[in-house]
Amino acid sequence: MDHKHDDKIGVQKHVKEHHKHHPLIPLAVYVKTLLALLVLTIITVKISYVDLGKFNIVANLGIATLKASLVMAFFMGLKYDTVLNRAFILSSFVALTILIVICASDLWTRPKPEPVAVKQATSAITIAELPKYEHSSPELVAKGKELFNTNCAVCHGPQGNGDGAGGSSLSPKPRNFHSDGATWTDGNTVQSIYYTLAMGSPGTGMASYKSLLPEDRFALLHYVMSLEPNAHRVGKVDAKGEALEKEEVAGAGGPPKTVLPIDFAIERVAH
Amino acid sequence: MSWLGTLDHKRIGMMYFFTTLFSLCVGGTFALLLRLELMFPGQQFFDANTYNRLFTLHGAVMVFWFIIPAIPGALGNFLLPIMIGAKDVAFPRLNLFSYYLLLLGMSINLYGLLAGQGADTGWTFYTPYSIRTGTAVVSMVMGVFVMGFSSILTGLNFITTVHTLRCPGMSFFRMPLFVWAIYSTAVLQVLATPVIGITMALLAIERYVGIGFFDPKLGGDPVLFQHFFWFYSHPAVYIMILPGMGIISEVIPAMSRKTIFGYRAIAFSSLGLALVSFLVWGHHMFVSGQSPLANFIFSLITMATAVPSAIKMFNWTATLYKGSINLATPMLYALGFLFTFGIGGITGIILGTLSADLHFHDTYFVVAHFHYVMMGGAAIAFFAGIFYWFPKMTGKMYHEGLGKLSFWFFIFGFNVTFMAQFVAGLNGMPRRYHDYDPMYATWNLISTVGSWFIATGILMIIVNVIYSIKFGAKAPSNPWGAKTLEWQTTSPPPLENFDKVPTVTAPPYEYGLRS
Amino acid sequence: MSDSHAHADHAHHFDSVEHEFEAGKLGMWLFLVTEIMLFGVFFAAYGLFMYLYPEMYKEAHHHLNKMMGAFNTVVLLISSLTMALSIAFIQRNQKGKSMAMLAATFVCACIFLVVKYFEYMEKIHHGLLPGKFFHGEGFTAPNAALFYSFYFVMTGTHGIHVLIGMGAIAWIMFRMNRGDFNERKYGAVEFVGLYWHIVDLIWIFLFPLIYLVG
Repeated sequence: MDHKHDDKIGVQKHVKEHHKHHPLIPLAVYVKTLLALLVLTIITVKISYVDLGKFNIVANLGIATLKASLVMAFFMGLKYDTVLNRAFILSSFVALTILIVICASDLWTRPKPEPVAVKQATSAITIAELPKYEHSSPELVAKGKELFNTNCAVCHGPQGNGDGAGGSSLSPKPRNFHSDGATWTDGNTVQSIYYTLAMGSPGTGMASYKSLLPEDRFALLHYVMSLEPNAHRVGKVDAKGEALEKEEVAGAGGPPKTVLPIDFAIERVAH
Repeated sequence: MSWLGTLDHKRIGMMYFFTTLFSLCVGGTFALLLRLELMFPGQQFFDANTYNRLFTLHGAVMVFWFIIPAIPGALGNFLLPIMIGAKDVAFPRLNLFSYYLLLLGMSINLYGLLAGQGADTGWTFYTPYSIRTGTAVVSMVMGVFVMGFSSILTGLNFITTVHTLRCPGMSFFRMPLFVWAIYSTAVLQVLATPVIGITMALLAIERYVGIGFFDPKLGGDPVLFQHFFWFYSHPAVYIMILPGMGIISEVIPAMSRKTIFGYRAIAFSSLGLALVSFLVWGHHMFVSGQSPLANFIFSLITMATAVPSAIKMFNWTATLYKGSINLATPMLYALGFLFTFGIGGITGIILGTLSADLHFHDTYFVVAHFHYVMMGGAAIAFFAGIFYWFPKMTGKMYHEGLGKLSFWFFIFGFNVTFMAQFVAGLNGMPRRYHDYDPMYATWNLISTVGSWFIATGILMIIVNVIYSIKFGAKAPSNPWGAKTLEWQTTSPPPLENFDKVPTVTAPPYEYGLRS
Repeated sequence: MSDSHAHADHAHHFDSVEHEFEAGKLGMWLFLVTEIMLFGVFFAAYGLFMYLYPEMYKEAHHHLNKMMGAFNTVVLLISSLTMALSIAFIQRNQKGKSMAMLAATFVCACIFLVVKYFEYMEKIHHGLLPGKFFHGEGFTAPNAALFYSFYFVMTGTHGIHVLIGMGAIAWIMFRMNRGDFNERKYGAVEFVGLYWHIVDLIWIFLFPLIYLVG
């Protein structure tokens, strides 16, 4: 086959197709399209002032679709264009529809979770017993250690060095309880640590442990305090069980929280 | 140097070829490290955090640096225009731009890897952890964003090329099946990739601004992230496998000297597979908290994906039947594909069964399944294609003995590595764990030893490629006696691919033996 | 005439200017497919949450200025007309009028962005910012920031596309001035036009869904 002849066939074919799919559209068509679009815009704005409930969004989308069709048909020339171009742009709307419809079949049909009736264990601490918990004891420290391994070691590390695997990506890093208590941002008194356990520490990965009973939180805090190297402590007892000299150590984050948190007061009142 | 600004699709294809082989080595190194760690229970070399980063990098590199670009970029670029009798792709400058976008995306990832030790979220970047973790998530996802554009533009280029640059006589049903496969892939690339691109960008914005679309603390929905992620990533696995299937459709008829059985069925099944792939993404999310209705829809439609794949498997097998089989290296890899992809595909249907997946999700059963389809499917087909078209692309013959040896190492190592993982998964071994219960020890040891055979096989392929480019025997135009257009021109082809524009008068697989 | 090597006005792998044009158009339509999918993700997320938080959307959108939004809609619609006319004129080889229409489109785009600037300033003034920067007052819904995240992400991405469109239009104007185009060869103008219409089309959906909800 002659090389030049083949080229000529190709050229003629493409010129013919080009003119078929791209005729000279009269200018008036464009102007009329704009007018139609403006009218539809006015309609859609006016409808938005009328409350039609769920139908508002349907009307909005319907008019928008009509406007889009006008833009595509006349401004973008799809009315005169190849089937292929129309098919491709249509396919994108089809793909989108699939995405939205099937996502809706998930997001809009999830069963609402039933409120779970949890049997909340109630705290056994009475007001009279409070001082017993505010002071450390070997039993509390031992219990605290157990609770620590279950609840805290994942981030604070098995020895409380702040090197747990779960905490390695956190910023700031979990507290190393063997460090100087003066550097503990939220304080290292009985009250401060109780507060931190109850409310968490905002801006960090330390969550609230309100789910633990108050006696558990006391046990934990006494264990944690037992790890701190310095002796200046509020609430530590000596061998005879007498309270040591009370010395408030200001936490690095501000004055010590000397008042027990409201929630504990409420818990006590409720109890 | 002249290559850096080349507009010749063949050179761009070669650049993709070497880049993706490099990517395979990087991803493979991560894999070997993972398997070394898992060789015995307990920590060998890497702590949990490092392990998490390693499997994230292995996945991200293999998916985005290697499998998605490899066959379309390397083989598609080189062969598509020639197979349809064209002089180049429709948009040569866009083609070069696509390649540079791939490099840019890889570099952004590399930055994250070197400066930030990568991410530890898994290649799926699920929220909310990917929002909270301090690791290099933004580098990883923005790299994916850029590489996504590379993929989109390649797809756009290929679709336009097929529609506008076929030579006289090249009707749609005279095109080689590799072209049908690349075309179907291109449709997926254009339609699906933007979704993951923008989702990755949204994740990056989320980390900086806290927009909350995917963050439950702010009223968002982490499962919505998964929907957007998998809306692309499921079609993506078909972006990975369809070109591979196209390669098999070329190698088997040529090396059985027999017309392909069911040409139209294979052509339509490529399109059909691409279309149905848009409807099944939620089968990756059966235990994510999707509603029961969505779970049901996805499981049901997933069953349908078996049909087009099965059509191809039957047709390839029927083509082999009573053919004059040439067991050269490409054919060995193609036969290997039939075995391993068969297993991969069937285990996919097992996983698509909702009730079964509830137990198998996030176990090594899933890991084995996707390695069987991705590595035992796409990668093995890629290797078949490398050897089949090596003479055409380089003008040299590869070393046949080393080629065959590489196949046996690969197929043996692959099945050992991943069959052991099926067993571990069936017994409940979870994935993405840096350690495991000692009851899985035997299977992990076997799997690790298998991985060394895979590595050896792949190393042999690379050595073969490099050695043969330099020292291989000069290749004739048509060493396989094949019928498609690329074999009717020189090895390698001239600049405009043909001395004169061909005119096609017959379908592509007219061998002596009919199917 | 049929010797393909003599033609300098189209690339070597095409047969003719018309052939190149058809391929370029298909390529641009495919690119627009990707833009639809991109914005579609935003619309999907926005719509899905609208069903889940209808009251929050109703409350939050009251702080948007419907009239400014409507005005911008009209501006963009007019710019689509001027863009279409620009192509109509170059098809008729009327380069002067075509340039004028391109310039008009560019001006419309500027007006659009200026209005957007004022809208954004107002939001910033009231603390109606996206995500963690949100500090708006008087909202009963706890996640009102989510709406503004959508607002800024969607209109912001759209605005970026307007900017890119302006750059493309300026480039086409430069080329037209240089004499690159005539009634036979005007592909680039057409393709920039198609892109511009998509920018308008996105806003056609954005406006009612964000400004007119409830």
